[in-house]
Amino acid sequence: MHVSLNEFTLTCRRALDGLGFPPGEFEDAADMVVWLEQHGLGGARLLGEILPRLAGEQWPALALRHDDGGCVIMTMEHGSLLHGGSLAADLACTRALESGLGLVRLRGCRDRSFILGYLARCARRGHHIAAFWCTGEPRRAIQNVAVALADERLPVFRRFRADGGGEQEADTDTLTLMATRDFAMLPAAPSDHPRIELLEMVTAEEFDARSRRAWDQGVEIDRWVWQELKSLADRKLVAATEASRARGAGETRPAD
Amino acid sequence: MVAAIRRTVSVQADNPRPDTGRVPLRPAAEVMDLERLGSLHQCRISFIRTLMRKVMAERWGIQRERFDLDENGYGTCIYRIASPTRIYNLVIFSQYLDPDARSDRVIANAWDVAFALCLGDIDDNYLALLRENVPRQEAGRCDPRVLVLSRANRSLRNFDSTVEALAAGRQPDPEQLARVGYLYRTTAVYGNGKFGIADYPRIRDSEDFGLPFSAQMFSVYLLRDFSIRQAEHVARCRAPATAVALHPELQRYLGIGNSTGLGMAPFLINHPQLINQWLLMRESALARCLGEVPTQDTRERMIALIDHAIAHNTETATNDVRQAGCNQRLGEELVEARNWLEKTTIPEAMLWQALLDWSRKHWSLETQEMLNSLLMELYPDRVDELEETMGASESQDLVPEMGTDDLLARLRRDYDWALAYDFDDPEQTHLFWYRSAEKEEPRLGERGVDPGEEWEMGLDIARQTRGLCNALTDWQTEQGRPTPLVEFLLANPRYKGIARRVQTLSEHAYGDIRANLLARGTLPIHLLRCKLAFFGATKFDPRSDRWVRITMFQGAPRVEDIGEHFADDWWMPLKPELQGDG
Repeated sequence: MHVSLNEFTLTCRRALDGLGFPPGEFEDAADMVVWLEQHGLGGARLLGEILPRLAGEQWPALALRHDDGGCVIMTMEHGSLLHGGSLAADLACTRALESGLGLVRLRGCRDRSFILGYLARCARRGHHIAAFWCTGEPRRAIQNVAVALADERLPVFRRFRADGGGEQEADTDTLTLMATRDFAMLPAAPSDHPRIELLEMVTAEEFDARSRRAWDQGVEIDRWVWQELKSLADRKLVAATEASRARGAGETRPAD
Repeated sequence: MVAAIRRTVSVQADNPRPDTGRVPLRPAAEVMDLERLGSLHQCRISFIRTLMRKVMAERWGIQRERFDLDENGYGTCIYRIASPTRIYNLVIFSQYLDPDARSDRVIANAWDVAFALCLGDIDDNYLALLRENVPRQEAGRCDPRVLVLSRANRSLRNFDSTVEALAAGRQPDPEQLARVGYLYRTTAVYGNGKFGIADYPRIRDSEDFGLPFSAQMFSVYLLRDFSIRQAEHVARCRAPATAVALHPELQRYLGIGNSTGLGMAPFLINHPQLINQWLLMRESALARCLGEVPTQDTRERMIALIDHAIAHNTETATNDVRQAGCNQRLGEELVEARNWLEKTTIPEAMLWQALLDWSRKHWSLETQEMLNSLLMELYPDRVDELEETMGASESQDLVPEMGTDDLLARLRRDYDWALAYDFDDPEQTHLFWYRSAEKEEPRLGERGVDPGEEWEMGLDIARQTRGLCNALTDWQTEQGRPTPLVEFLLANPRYKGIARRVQTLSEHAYGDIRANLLARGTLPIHLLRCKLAFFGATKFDPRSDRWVRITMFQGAPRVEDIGEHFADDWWMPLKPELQGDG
């Protein structure tokens, strides 16, 4: 089904509001979903996949497990990154401003690819920030790396398989965020190393082209996902009554 | 004389702040008072004023390319528009409407006309698609070729009597048109991606419709022409031998009505950076004008403008007791203002500031703001360029490293008005806002009486601010020191939205309306009027404290006038005196 980006954004926000996301968080979470969709990375499909889980989950607590000033480890009880995980990026940026480097590892975190949209926001605010996360199976782990540079609108994103051939552990529930103040990390050039298989690379230019296309043409959303989102958004609608029609909306004199 | 072609290009830096000269901007505490915002009038940089200057200066070509209406005026009409850069088409579907189904409410499901402004030309296949979806409005789906989607209903008393008069070879009574100055009322004008149409960024950088709401206003402008042509057409069909065309002066005197309810209210709370920009440009225009030194000629022109406003005010009718009182007082005080200007001996260099100061002390908010709008008419060279920067970047970003002490200081500095409310007093939380299941229409409920309190909308900025202030204070006490905001939010995620808003609006003084919208006695109609004044509305006619009818484009040049001399003085038209007609 064809929808505009603004329509998708508003519907996502209202759906997540309907799910009980707090003010501020439902906007941020929706914007991360829309960012992925707008930039060709299937935000709507991903959200559709996790909606049943989001609907059944309590808001997980973000707990601080370790903080030595330079490195922070947090856990979020296998909650979704959409459940306030963007604050981990904010914490990394804050630490970078304080001490030059902010390293935050967020454990027990699902749906980590949604962080891409938030990295773009951090960069817009003037932070250098990179995110790393791993998906896939042991020994077939896929590394995901996104780098966003201060004052750039868009990050660079790479997915690659670095198959060591041994007992490589795929840490599939940790998101590592690294923000820097005094130096910027550049995305590595595509490697021809035999053990590194580049699966996908999206440059800032390509993201920009995808974004412009989405603004221009809207996006296609699975009808089922759209209906689910509408249904969640409807949770915050109040059933109409004659009193609400007359008094709540306030028309007191007849039309002519 | 035909004005030189001028281009208005809307590409702008994010949230620019213009130079205002020697006079400072009015403080936010004064400007953002809800009652004052609800007393605003149209001004030179209201959107329809800007639009008409642009269309006239650039001599847009507008043709009725198709006018397939039956004897009742039902059928299809297409306007083809050539701007200097693009081709557009406005497609109008006119249909029979059961009188029982006629409603100005957003919850209506059928209308007299439905229309869409489209980018590019329309072929038969696309027209069929539009015909299937546009009349259904919210229930239909459109695509990004559609820039604006809207609908309108006839003003029955005016439409029927106008047709009747024209069919009989007479002109309609100007007196009646003075009471209701339009044949059609729009009830919603959708843009920015609604129901699948184009997102605003698609046209934001275009030279034609980059300014806020300009595509919507243009669509309404063309509906005005359609309303006249349709009435003439029906009159001709009814009495071919006797029917006459509407007198050109009456054509100009007819505008388009609009009926607006609470649906408009959340916009003003949810777009604070845009609201800030609109107010900032208006206040900058005012400050620039206040700094001008009048000549005898400009003083006389101001007096003439006041006389004109007095006359216009006498032709503004409303049955609303409060508004009628405001109008009466406006008329009386404008006479006082005229006399004051004639008699004052204040040096010219201080005259306009002295007028503003005098009006603050002695006259109502309606009068103060009318005088401000009139003052801007004197100095188009100082004002009109500000229309190009009415747009704003609307991203609100968290500043997570900000200290909680810093945020508290900002709260106490910028939100003292909000912190002054006592939310333990039930009177301050008497109302709640909710969204109805009927077309998601925003409505107001009485707490403890009406259902829906648990689904309250977040328009309670003052109360949220109080909550944030208390939570930050408690946090600092617990921690024994201020911390970066992010640490507070990790423990208190529900304050993220309001914290980010306070941070953002510290740099946008005119962003937040300074009122507790939950308090008993709140008049939401003030919110509606503020936005409508920026659109360019006149003749505010409240139907209740939550519902208002207005008129737009009354007095504006007709489509046929494009390319002719344009004085840009059309905005307070007086009832035409027709000579030898009728």
